[in-house]
Amino acid sequence: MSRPRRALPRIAALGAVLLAAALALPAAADTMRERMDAGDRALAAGRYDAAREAYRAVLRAQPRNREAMRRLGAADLADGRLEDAFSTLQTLRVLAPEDAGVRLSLARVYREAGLADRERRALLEAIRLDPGMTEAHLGLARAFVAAEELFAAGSEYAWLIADADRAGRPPEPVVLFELAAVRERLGRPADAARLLTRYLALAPSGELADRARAALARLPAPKPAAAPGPPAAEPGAAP
Amino acid sequence: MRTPRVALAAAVLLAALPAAAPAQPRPGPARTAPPAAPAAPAIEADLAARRSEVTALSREVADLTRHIAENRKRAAELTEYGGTLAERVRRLKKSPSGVVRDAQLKDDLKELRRVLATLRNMSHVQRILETTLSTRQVALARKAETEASRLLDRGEEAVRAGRDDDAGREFRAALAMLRLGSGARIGARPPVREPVPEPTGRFALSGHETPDEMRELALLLRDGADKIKWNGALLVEVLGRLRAERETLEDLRALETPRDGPAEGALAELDGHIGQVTAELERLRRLLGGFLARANILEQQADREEVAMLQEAGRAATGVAP
Repeated sequence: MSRPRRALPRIAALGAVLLAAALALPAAADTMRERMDAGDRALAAGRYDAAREAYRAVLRAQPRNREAMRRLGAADLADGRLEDAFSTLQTLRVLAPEDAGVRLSLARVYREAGLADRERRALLEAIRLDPGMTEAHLGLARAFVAAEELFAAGSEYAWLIADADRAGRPPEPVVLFELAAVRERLGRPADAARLLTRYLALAPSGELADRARAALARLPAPKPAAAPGPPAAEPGAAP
Repeated sequence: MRTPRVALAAAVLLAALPAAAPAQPRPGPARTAPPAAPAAPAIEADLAARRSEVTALSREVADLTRHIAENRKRAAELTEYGGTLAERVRRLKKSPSGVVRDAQLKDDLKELRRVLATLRNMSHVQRILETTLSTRQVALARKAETEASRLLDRGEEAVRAGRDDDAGREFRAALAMLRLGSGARIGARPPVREPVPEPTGRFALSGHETPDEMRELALLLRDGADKIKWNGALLVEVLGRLRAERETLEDLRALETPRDGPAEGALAELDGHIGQVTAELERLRRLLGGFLARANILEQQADREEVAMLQEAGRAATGVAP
């Protein structure tokens, strides 16, 4: 047999292998997607063992699949398995150093573990990476409240309100409620009353609304709204 | 409340640190990459030594905590026994004297003195133990945090080298170490102190006070001065916290976009508050100075009058006219 003829079967075999691989790739991707979806469904339903198993199956095939790692960390955190969540999220932090979401998840692990300083550091890192990350700002505001750093807490809550104003949407009512508590503790009852009034306009019913009404009953009445114009700066904003 | 937390954290650490011994290179291929070269034995030995230092310190903290709790329990029992004895002594003293009663009273008084001496000694020992515990907790917190940072670094290196299992082990141990350090730091924190009502220091002097009465008033003033000092020390702590918060707000301002965001306003507000606290501290300093000065004047006056009275008495005794 001549040389080209001898090569033919080899080329055919290689072609078959490549074809099989090309056909198998989408199938594998579909399987991964199905596993991830199954994990997500289990996680949403609070079936953490099933969720973990689904994400681990993905990671067995693709050990550095960041999405699977992120979700595995979330499942462990939701299930209170702090060491496991920490381990996965720290690994992910090394693999995705610019991912603000990983820092936010790590902050949650730290909070659950009672490591307030580390929680705060992780939240600041998240904000450094993504200055507009509202969850990180809210987490930081609450961490400041827990540490009795009320001026810093007020600043973070005010940032959240200013951010909503910039985006032309109403602020999260809970932000108004929590800032009102901070302002009252700082000896600014009129600010607190104004914030609670705004809270009730956005969320008139529920347990917090009842508490807001009770607080308003003992606080001085807020001044009537000024004539239409630019929105007033939130307490703590630049004078 | 804070000490069991440390003991619990120590238990968690001990459970989480089988790797206190040098980590052995795993047999077989790593999950995601070829096995990395094992770390140099010297480095591993150094790590093991540091971890065993932390382990030893946490055991010491746990032992001290237990010892203090036992002492406290024993002191409470002795105090109760002392109270019973004191009551019996009071009753015996009221009863008519007699051979049996006198002997009994003598024995009870002797026993009461022994109990009180033991309690005094225990209180002294307890103070020493608590100081030692606090020192060890601070040392443990520092060591645990340093060690946690090292473990995190090693975990990161392992991730980069594709040794995910090793990384997981290091990260888990790091979290246990961080919790241990945090528990120790919380345990070492001094208890929250409350301000005391400010003394008025207002009392009218008739001008006919004896030297002893003057000294008594001076003592009252010094007692008031101690209260002012206490409140002042608390305000200094508050000021320290506010200054730390100011630094935090500076960090927030640096992160803010736009730059004139809420942190700017909060900083201005905080500065105003720091100014108020500083002014209050200044007021307390002046008040303290006033209390001490008045106490000094009264004591000096008492001394002078006492000397004059002695001279007067001396002259009266010797019949010398003034």
